[in-house]
Amino acid sequence: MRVTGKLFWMPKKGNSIEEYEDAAYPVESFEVDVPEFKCAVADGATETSFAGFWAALLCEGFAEGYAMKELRKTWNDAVRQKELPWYAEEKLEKGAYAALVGLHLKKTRGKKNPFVVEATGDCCILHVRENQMLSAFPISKSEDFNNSPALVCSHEFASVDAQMQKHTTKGEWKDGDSFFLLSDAIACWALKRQEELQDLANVLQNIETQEDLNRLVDEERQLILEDGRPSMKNDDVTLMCVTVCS
Amino acid sequence: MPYTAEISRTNPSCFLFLIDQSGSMQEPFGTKDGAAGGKTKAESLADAINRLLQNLVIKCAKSDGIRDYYHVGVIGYGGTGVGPAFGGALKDKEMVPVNEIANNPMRVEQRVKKVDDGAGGLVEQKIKFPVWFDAKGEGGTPMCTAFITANKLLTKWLAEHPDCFPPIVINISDGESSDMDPYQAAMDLMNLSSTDGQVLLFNLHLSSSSEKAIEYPNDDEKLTEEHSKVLFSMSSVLPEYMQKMLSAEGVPVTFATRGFVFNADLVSVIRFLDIGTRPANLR
Repeated sequence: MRVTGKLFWMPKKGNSIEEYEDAAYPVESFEVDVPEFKCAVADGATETSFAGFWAALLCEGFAEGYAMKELRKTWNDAVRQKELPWYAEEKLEKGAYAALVGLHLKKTRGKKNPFVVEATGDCCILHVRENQMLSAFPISKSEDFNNSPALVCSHEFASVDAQMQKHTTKGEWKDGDSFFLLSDAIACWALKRQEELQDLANVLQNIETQEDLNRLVDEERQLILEDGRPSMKNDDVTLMCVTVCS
Repeated sequence: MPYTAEISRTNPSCFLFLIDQSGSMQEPFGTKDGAAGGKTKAESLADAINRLLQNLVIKCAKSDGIRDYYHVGVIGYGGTGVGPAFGGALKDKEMVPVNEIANNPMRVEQRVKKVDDGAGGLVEQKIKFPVWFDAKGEGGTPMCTAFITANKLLTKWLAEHPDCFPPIVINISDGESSDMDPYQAAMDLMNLSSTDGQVLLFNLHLSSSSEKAIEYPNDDEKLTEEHSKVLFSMSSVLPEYMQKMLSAEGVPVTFATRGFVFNADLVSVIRFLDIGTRPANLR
């Protein structure tokens, strides 16, 4: 099974590259020939601290199969290494939060080649075949995005974990299928684009370089809709395009 | 649509607190069971403003420090007049970025709070509790002058930040204005606006009454005190996005719901500030 992946990202306008809090794994574009493959995109929540680090751990954890307990310990050990001001300490106690979407592809000996997607929060995956969008998961309508999704927390709080909902879906991939893993701002924009113009697969396939993504995002952030909001919310943006062939 | 402006370091918004430091605030604060020996209204006010500032700072805290999404002012009004109320390094400052608030509390106390132990139970945990204000109360209640002072301050702020998310003013008082009828001055304050909407004025009424706490009422029918009715009449109707957030938390709201609470907590206002993704399951 040959899997190629293109990864593009950009920080929220007004923020520096260091302040980018999405994450992906693999951490750069890739091309591999393997019987099984895992990749992920995550989005650290703005209102929590060390969220980018937590998002990166979740992506790596999904792809490499690390246990949640292990990831939480790694986060906690790393962020508590120095004395912090009162507000940073208080923020740490609340933990970091992130949305995660992970894709697991397998090549079997049979005719059907399965994939599994796991998702928590509002990072999304779109499945595209022959320039047509087959499905969007875990959110399939742009109106279902909001600013308060239940996310994965770096602390093991019973009350917090109880509200966190991990969604799973399964399917089959065929030669040449593409999967787009997206963080929330571009995912919401993408679903709206599909609802209005039904040309999303084409638009996404045409993003071949980082400059292509920068151009698209800049234009959509500047385009103000009737309700006074930008066509694409000003937020970190991550796009991973995975194409698979047997 | 109003109240949609992005709050960022390049386009910050502003919080202005008006705190009643008059003599009547030394009276006992109402307890639900009417028990004696509780806090004074001035002590309850100090708790309220310290908690609001603490929550605002934490909201803006990130791994790399504080992001100045807000500028903050605190105006005190009482027997010593009307003016900036901070002490220490912030003394006499009318409006400062939130990082200056974060880094200049009067002192940081150690307190104990109960937290989730991860197994469905609670454990005691030591926390740092910053204090910017101690209880204070003497003389009259020049609330009208406080609104006029706030008006001047925000007129200047809005000229410098014409496209900001509209400033939020939080007035914490027992409602006994002693200079003039504050109604018109409050209306004038609420009529100030940025391109994104009008200034929001919320009132927290601290009373000696042992009546049940009231949060975000739709009308003044259940408000038994005259001062409550006055403060309610001077409170902004909640913008639609705040109505939705309150509604999502199970609070019954209508298009008439106002930013007013009686002997209750206004920290929810900080929770409603939109600076990015806020996890639904954040504790």
